[in-house]
Amino acid sequence: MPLETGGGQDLALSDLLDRALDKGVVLWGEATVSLAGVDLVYVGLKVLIGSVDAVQRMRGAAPGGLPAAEADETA
Amino acid sequence: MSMLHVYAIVDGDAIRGAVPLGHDGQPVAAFPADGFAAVVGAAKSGGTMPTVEDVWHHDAILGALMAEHVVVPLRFGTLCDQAELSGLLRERRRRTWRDLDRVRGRVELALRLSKTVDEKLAPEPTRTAATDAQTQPGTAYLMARMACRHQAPAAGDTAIRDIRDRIDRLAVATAWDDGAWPVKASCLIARSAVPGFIDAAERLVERYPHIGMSCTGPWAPYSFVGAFGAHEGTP
Repeated sequence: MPLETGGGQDLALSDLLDRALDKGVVLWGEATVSLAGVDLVYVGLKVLIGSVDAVQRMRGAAPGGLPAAEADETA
Repeated sequence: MSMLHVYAIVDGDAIRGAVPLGHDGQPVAAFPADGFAAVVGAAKSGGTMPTVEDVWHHDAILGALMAEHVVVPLRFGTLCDQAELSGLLRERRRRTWRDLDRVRGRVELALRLSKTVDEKLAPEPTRTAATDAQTQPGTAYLMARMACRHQAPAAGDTAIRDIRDRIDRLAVATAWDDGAWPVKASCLIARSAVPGFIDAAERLVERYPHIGMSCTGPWAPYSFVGAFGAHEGTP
């Protein structure tokens, strides 16, 4: 089987969503991103799927609310 | 207070090179902070439901920035106001510089490994296995066949371990997600080393034909900023 480089658009999209939604720098708390129609692309994103209202409700229900921004250890 | 989309943090105080318009058709601009800058664009009040195309657009902005800058990517959908951003950049100055140094001249590649074992590749049961079963030959054959098929994932795991060892040696750093199939890896690679990395991956595919491998990128180094849990390879 040859190495699939670049992949199909779906594969590249899945890898992009893995990164742009789940990694990268978080300035504070967690991103509240909701995307319509991506649940077929990557099951791991299910936690981010849904209406913004639903995400806000989930966040509101979390004890202690959002985590505070982490400062440098030695600012 | 007006909100900003924050796309990335880059080296320098100003944006170099051409960068596409940001979300909502707004131009992107540098928000300088002590030798580096956040790349931001105005956000429409109220906003709109983001789409997959918006995520691709986020990636296109980062790609344009990477042509001229060292880029620390922020997650898609990061919004804040100017006062918050100013405070956060000040608080995180040291960490930001560490991230900029870590990803300088490097890009991220995404690897995905999957099992492609099928009946033709699974080992054939031997006549001895059928005879030893002391049952009807047909039943014994099927039982032996089932046992062989159950061995297939273990053989795959051995291959994955070898692939993982070799990839770790090729990359500056890797982050593996191997809890389930497909096994996924993020690899931090010097930009100039990407062709050699692809060649090496091609050879691994030839060595293990029952493992499917895909590679996408280069991406902004999302998985190596704040680098939690990344395995450090040889720099």
